[in-house]
Amino acid sequence: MTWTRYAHGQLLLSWKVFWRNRRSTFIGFLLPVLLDLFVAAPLRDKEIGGVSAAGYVTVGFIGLALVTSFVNLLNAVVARRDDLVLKRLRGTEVPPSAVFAGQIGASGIVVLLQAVVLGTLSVGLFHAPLPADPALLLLTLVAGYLLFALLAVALSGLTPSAETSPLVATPVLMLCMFGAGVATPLSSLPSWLQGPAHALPLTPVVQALRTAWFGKSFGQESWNGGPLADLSFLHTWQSAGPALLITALWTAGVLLAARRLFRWEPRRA
Amino acid sequence: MKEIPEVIEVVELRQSYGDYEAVRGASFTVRRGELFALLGTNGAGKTTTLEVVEGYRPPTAGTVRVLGLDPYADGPALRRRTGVMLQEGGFFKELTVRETVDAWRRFSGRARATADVLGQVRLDTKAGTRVGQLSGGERRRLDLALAVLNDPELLFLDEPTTGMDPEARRNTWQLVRELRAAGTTVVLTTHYLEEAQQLADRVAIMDAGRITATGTVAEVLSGQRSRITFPLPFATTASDLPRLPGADLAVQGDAVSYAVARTAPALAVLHDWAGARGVELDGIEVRHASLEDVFLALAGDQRTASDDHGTVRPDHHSKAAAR
Repeated sequence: MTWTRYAHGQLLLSWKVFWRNRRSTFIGFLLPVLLDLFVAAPLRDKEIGGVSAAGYVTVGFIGLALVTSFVNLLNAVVARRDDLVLKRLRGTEVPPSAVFAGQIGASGIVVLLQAVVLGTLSVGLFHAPLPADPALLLLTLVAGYLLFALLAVALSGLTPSAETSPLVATPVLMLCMFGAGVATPLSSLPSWLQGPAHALPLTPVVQALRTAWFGKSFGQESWNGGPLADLSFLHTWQSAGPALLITALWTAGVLLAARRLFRWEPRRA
Repeated sequence: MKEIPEVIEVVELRQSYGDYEAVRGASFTVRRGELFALLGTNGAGKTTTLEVVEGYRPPTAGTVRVLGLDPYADGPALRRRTGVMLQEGGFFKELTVRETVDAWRRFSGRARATADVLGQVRLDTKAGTRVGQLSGGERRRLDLALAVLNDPELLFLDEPTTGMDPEARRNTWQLVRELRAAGTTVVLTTHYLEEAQQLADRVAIMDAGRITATGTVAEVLSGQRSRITFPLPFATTASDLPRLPGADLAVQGDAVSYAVARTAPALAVLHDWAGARGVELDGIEVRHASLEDVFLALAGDQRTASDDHGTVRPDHHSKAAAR
């Protein structure tokens, strides 16, 4: 029971600091929403795979919100390690698992909030339907978030200092933004790029998010392809299954890396 | 729960970073209710030793027990009963002093009221200030506030008064005395020897990763000679000064210093000498040996000893390279 209390305390602390820091509020909350407005608004009258193209892109940006939360978590973990805040936290009775749970939980709530904002945009402004399978959507979102949160913990160990964290975070953000099918289907990439694009961790997450939202089998869609058929409840899960499995494998690998690489204290010079 | 008299037991502790051995076989015990000070120069191994005892890292070799627990393996359980003031620890600069203490209260099973703790470290007037705006000394006091928040049985203070102005230092000493009077066991590191002399029941002096002297302040000072100092009197040269019984004389510029085993016979001779020559001994001071004298003597001995063996004392440079 006390574990919950510690994790809750850590969550409240991370939450407060998140909203008080302009940089984290911008990168961690506003950025995907603003980017989506820029990219999706011009596509309001187009369709892809039988759904609103602007709505399609907006669901992609829910996926991108996982990556901006990754960027924010990476910055936060590295900065707090270098400032010796993590060391101080470790001097308290709070078990490390509760420290992680609280921090990751606070960012997770921000991601949920972003999903609600983007989803409202998608439905209200871009005439997308309501989610076809909310349970699958939430599961995919949580699984994808966990993957990127752990990736931030793992890569913090390879990031020497707060000043160098953009050097680690920006390539991941750029690759996922342009290579994971966020704003445009993978089929519009040159054929030699499609293999590497499928290997990115965000690609299966975005695909499963769209399948869950629209209830259609996304993955092979293209701008000039026809509408995709509607899937039944069971077939939606079946269609998203491989993508979720790949996400789970990624998460397992990243968890192992995080356990090896994470450091509580900066390397002393 | 059975009360064991030894709150901390460290036996033959060794701690290495790569090739560099920061602690080379340190043993000491700390008893319940006492204030124990670990003294040493920068790089002597004090903070490394303390961080092993606090449970930040496992010992490379040797055993460490704190309140009967293994501090590394039983970290969270132990920290319910201890308070740690790190030599350097960060805060969330975005939060105010009050918010910081409030946040930390949630991390403790038996936290005291925020106002109490802030009053105790005299930060109550700064409660609404962002931590980023605090002075160095104020940050140290906030550090202290967080360390005593859970009313610890055992309190670790790593150089608690570094960066404080003299008044804040006195206040901190007073606070530490109060905690000790209330039964808290305190382990303190410092390189201000006056601090140890003011506060400590027992001290251990660390040099180059080893404990070179340990005991009560009186024990460590016993056998140390008192000092008689005065400015060289008018129209007197160093060669005119008398030999005092059992004393060593040092003259630097016009500062005369005698190290004496017994003060009364030495002062009697000095008095007779001054009377015979008709000179004044204005500004004469007689003082007991201080920890500083012991410390300088021990550190000096150590340096000479290692030079004799042809080994070089590890300096900051080699430490950095080893990491």
